[in-house]
Amino acid sequence: MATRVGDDAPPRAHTPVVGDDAPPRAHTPVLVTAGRKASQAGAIPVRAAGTTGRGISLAVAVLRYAVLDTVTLRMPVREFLWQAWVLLKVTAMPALLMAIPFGAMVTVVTSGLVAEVGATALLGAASGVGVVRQGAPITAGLLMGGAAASAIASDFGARAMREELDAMRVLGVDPVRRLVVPRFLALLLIAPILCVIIIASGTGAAFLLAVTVNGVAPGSFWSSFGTFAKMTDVWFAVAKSVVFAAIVAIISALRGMEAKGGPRGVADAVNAAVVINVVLIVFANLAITQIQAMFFPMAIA
Amino acid sequence: MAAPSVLMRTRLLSARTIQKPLGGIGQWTLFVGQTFFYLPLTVRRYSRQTLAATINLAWGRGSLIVDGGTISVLLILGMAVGASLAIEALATLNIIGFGALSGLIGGVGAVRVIGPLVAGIAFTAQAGTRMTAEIGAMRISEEIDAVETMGLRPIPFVVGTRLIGGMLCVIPGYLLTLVATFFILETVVVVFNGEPGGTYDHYFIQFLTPIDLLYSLIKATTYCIAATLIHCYYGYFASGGPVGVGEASGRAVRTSLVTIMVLDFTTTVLLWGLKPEFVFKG
Repeated sequence: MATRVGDDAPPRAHTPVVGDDAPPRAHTPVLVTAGRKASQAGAIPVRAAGTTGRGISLAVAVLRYAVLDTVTLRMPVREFLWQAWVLLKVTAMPALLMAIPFGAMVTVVTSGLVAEVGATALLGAASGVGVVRQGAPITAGLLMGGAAASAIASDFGARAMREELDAMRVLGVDPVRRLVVPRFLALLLIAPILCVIIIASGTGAAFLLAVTVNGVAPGSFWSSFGTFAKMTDVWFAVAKSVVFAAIVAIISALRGMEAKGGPRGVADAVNAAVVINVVLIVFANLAITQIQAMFFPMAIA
Repeated sequence: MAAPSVLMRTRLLSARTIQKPLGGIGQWTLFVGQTFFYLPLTVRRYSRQTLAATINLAWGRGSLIVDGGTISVLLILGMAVGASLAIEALATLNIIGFGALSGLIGGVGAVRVIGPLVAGIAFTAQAGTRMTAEIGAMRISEEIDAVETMGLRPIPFVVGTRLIGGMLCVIPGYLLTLVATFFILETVVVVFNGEPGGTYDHYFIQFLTPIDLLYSLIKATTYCIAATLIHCYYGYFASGGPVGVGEASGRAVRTSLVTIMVLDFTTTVLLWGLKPEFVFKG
């Protein structure tokens, strides 16, 4: 954008270019631009397919090493625990802070409807469905896909930039095995923790608001909560967040390892990782929700 | 050199512990204040840069997701979240015998809560992290100092143009997303789950008031302004080389996700009250 320009730079930079290209420039620029744009647009699906393929092969390698190294006790346990702690530190507090307004909002929005039909006790059910079934896994996924993903992608990006990853490969150490697998397992470990934190604090906020503002009796809140939210729902919420964690680990590591081109490259890797994570998480959520609705239909206990 | 006394040490410590957050608050206030104060100047003087920022935020480099624009991500997220909302809410309403009220999902759920929330999250994920990346990289390679040396005001030139550009592409993009979400909701509820279409339309239209749409747009715009300011702030004050930009991005995403959630609750309560009223007209 703002380049440093010396005293004599402008004439030297501009005159020869104009002079050489002047005659053909009259008719071709439109065609050249159109051709370039077309080839760029044509390259996009190819690039996307390439990224998908590399992601799948990385996922296969990570899964293989995760199982193999756990069985053969070659897991870098210290790295795994340290990463779990670091990732939990960046996500736990925001999880709490996001869950409280979310739970409160579910109560506020549904209170109008249930008050109209005189069934305020159903607020418990609303928080059971809203927080446990959808809110908790999505919030955990977004936090992992935003906060944890930037931590992982910027770490890998910086390593790629400093050529540490190449150095490791030269030394015969596989970065996937040494760096990606511990982060993958660390995210799988903290995903249920985050999910449970969010369920507890979100439901707590919904409960407090329902009891104080809407005058629901505490007992009837919990009884309708228990009628609608089952253990199956909690298991599904945890399973969803574990799936999201796997997506986040693979995508962020892939994007970080492929970063190139200085600070901007690292930042672009983080950007791409966050966007792909969020989109994939939302679609995975849609798929799992549909599966749950088909095979485990909601029923009242 | 003699070690400082316990008193001295504690005083130094306490002064620093108070100074640091105070300095942070001051920096935030100055940054946000300057951005808004110079907005007229941004429009007058940097209109070309604003247009460039708008096009960049709206379409990116022309692909759908990576390096793409905000509008495609908004649409994709809006449709996917709308479909999950429809599946979940319809199942819940059916179980308590309110299946006929499924129009509420679109008329209330999507407009009041899910739509703005999705807009905020999509904007944070795509445009927000891009802003931190761009501005952080500019800061690290001392381009912001260069901008200042060239006699341009860096905050309106870098932040103000992006704020206006973000607004220009989010407002139409959000309305487009809302329409797409309505379409998906009706498809899932009526076509896939076989609810009567007339009943759905009846309650959907009954609860979809123009004032709600306006509030919904206000909510979405508020989140996007907040996300822009947060992401630009962290990018603008990034330090520490390539890793620093990545970490700034992480902090910015965390802060803006929490801020969007808190703003969602406060704007919901401010716009519709702590006990919103639904009037069934028939």
